[in-house]
Amino acid sequence: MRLLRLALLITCLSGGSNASAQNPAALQQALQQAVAAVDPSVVRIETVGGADLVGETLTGTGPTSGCVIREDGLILTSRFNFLSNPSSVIVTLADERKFPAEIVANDESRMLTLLKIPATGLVPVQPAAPEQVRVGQWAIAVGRTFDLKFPNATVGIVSALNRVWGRALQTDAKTSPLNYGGPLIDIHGKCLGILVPLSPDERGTTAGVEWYDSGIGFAVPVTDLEQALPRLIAGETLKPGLMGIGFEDQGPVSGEAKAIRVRPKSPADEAGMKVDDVIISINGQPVTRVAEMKQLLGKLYAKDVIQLKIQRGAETLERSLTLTDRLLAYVTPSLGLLPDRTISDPARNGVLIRGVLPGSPAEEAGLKPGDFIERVAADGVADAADLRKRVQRFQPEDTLPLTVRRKDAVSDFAVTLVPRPSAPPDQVSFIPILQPEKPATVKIGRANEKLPGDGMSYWSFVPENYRPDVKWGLLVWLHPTGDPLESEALRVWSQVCRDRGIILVGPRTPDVSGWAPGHEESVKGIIDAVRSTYEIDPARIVLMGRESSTLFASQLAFKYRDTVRGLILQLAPLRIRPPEVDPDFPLEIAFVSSPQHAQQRQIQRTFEAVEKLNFPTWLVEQEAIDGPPFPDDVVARLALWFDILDRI
Amino acid sequence: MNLSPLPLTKSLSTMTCRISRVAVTMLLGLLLTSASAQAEEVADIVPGVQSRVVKLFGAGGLKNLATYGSGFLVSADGHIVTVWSHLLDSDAVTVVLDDGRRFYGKVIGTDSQKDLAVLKIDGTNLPYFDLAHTATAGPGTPVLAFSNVFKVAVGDEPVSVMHGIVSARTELSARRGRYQVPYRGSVYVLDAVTNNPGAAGGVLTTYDGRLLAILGREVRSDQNHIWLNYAVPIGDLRQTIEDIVAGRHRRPDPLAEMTTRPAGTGFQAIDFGMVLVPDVVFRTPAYLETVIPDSQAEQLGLKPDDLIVFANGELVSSLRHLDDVLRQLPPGDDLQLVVRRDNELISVTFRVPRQKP
Repeated sequence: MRLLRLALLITCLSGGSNASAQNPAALQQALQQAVAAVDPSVVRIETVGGADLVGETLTGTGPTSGCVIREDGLILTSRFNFLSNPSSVIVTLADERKFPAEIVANDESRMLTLLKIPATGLVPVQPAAPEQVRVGQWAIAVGRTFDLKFPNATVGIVSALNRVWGRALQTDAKTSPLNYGGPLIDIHGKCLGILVPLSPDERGTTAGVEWYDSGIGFAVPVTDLEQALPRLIAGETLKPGLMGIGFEDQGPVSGEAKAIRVRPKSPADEAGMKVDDVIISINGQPVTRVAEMKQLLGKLYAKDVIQLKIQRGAETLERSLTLTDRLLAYVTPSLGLLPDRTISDPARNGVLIRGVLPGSPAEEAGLKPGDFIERVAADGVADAADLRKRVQRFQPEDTLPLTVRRKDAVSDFAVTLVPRPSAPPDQVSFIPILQPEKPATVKIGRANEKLPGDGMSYWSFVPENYRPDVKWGLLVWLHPTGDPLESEALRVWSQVCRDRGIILVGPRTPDVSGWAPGHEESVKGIIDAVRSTYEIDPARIVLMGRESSTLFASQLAFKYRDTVRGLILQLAPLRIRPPEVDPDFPLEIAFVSSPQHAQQRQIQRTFEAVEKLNFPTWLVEQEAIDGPPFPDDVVARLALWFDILDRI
Repeated sequence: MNLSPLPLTKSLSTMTCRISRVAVTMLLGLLLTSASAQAEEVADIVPGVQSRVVKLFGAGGLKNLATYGSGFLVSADGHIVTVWSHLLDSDAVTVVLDDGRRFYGKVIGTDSQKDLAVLKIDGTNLPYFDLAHTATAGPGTPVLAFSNVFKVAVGDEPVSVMHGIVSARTELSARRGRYQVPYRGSVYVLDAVTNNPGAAGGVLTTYDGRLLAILGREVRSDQNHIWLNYAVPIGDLRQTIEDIVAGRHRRPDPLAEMTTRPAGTGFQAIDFGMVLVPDVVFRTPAYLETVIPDSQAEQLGLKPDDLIVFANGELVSSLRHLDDVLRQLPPGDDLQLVVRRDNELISVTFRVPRQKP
């Protein structure tokens, strides 16, 4: 191997001597030499045992790859490889020697894992000089998953630098579980980075895996590794760094970094930051938009200290704060009122109150259905979404001044916010949905549909009283494996749908083996298809699973947080940890348990665990499980829970 | 000047950053030259290969099964090789050549183990691949893939060309459970996304147009569930194809095959003196609970809490996996186990009993 490297060195030194090579044969030779140069540093990683909670389909037990980074047995790889928390990790070197490996530390921001094996004299990867990495140069992704003797390679170019909020370089060489953890190398066999699945929009070990082999792949660049390695070697778990500030607009065309929320006891709070402060620079780098700020923060870890420059009114302040990995769970403040769902003239500002929850601050302050909120804290309020956002800037126990029009009189109310209760009240009076005056122009009633493209089929029920001038809730029924329960679901839920203004859809699994992670996008596609045809209230989109389908329902709800607002788990515990409470993406979980059910204790336990995380959750008991699958009393309670998801 | 992109990057990296702007300008210029040079070479061989690849249309249409596919000519009088599929279930398969000529093909032979079928159309003087002059490739070889993927080509349109490299050469293993890999044996794994509907039966060639392999189906890897892009080396199929063309191919006798396959002997861990922990979860690791006194396991020094990680070179990912391996052991053979004890890997070799006790 040393000889080969020497040969390569000579080729490199001679500059362009094989530059006269003009055909694919020369390219082939160069690729093979580059792979041969890195070959001794690429290892195979296999895992034994592990939890069954990651589903059956995505993880598998196949081998993955890793990179030797120090002669004395340090190996860097992708966290993806340890998805299932394996009980034992085996590393096979290029010379086919096998070693048991210990996990030294994880980098939860860049999704890396550092392993140690009891071996010395290993050949570490040679880093490429970072200042010479350019978009457009050759990039070869290397893994050791097929053949122990030869690494597997895919070829592309460097597509971009500083991707995924400054954490990764991008390549069009095919990346997949076959080479995650392996090196991305240049044409000389020097390491550009470690291949990892990443996604700019999501977090989690599997985020980005759906882009495998797509021409969009990521590698954590070697420069970043140099900073992280000493901390990883010391056994420190590296986590993304948080300030504890909420910003108005998260989108790609976002404006200035103006704080709309400062979380209590967060680093930002402790540094004295206030709502409406605007961040204008971080560590001396100017920030004009939220996206720029995320780009700068994305590179940093918890415990890193940053210097902020802040604009507060006419003043410019400087603050130093230490990023944290954890914030106190967010507590949603609540008024306890239900906004009207009529789609009104956008020019007409204000929020009409559809209902007031019993025992709520709104009721105590004397607000009544039919009242019209015109102003919050002296500022005009546009619509329900605006009101919700404005309320979220406050904390429980804060008092909110509201200007309300009742008939022709305008008066001021002061409402003291409380933490939003998760359980629905026993009863809420609601205004029934009036029959539409005009016949609907869209399909109503029961229908069988098929998604164009991949063709997942589903049934839907749109109540006969559908009218497009009111926002409708959406209930997605994910049937348990092998039992669609279609007629039962339709019989019991159709009246609820008419009364509460809900559209019901039931995706069907493509085969008898049930739901798999690969179906996530199709179900999301069905939700999108319904939303494009009907007026759907974004605050009331709910997934409902039962027994075997609850795991898939939870995965879907936690994956598409920007869409799903409620999750109903019938007769099953929650089997994956819920994400952090995020005021921008509210989600509530309702459990249905029964004393007759074998998993009653687990359901109760996970309910309590979720509650402890301050996650909005509620449990309803079903007396018997040998009767109808959807008992009327349980459905009535769930309907009420569903109906107040849009409460403010 | 005729330069490939490769040495450019090399010369670029030896330059300093200060002159990078100059370098980039140069690079652009050179890339254009070299890109056109490469395009020329590929363009020269493509029509020749395309004229030997045919578009197939046949049965199917149910349950997302494609009604179209690809194949290639292996004789001047119209023998066409493709994969063995539902497409061929109709009496006659429509074969469309690259110039738009339309024929009806009859299946003259199949081999399910090689996942192969040969069709015959009535033609003469057709362009074809000479099976006596094919190529082989190692990892890193740039390759071209030709097929009517997604039936983009219709009528007199030639099939689509994609480029990529051979990522690895490996053995395909059969997947337990939901999907079956139709072919077991050596394959090329490709770094291009070649295996999509309609691609199976197309060809993989070198950059100078020599036949390397036949494009496989859409399958998922049995290990990590990702879609695999593979092609079966033509060398492994040549004999079968020639036998079918010459009319001397015999289907393997399914009965004879059953008797030659090593019968599952049903050995269990206890037969070697090992008692494993109870199988409680989906992936219980194969830990030893007890070692039976005076057994082979004790003589070989195995101890409770040893974790079995490899059996005959195969990774033991769970108890169930180990069960599968043991059940298939031929009597009288060796069973090599690698166990993990604390932070050490220990290798032991058992003798499989002549018969099940």
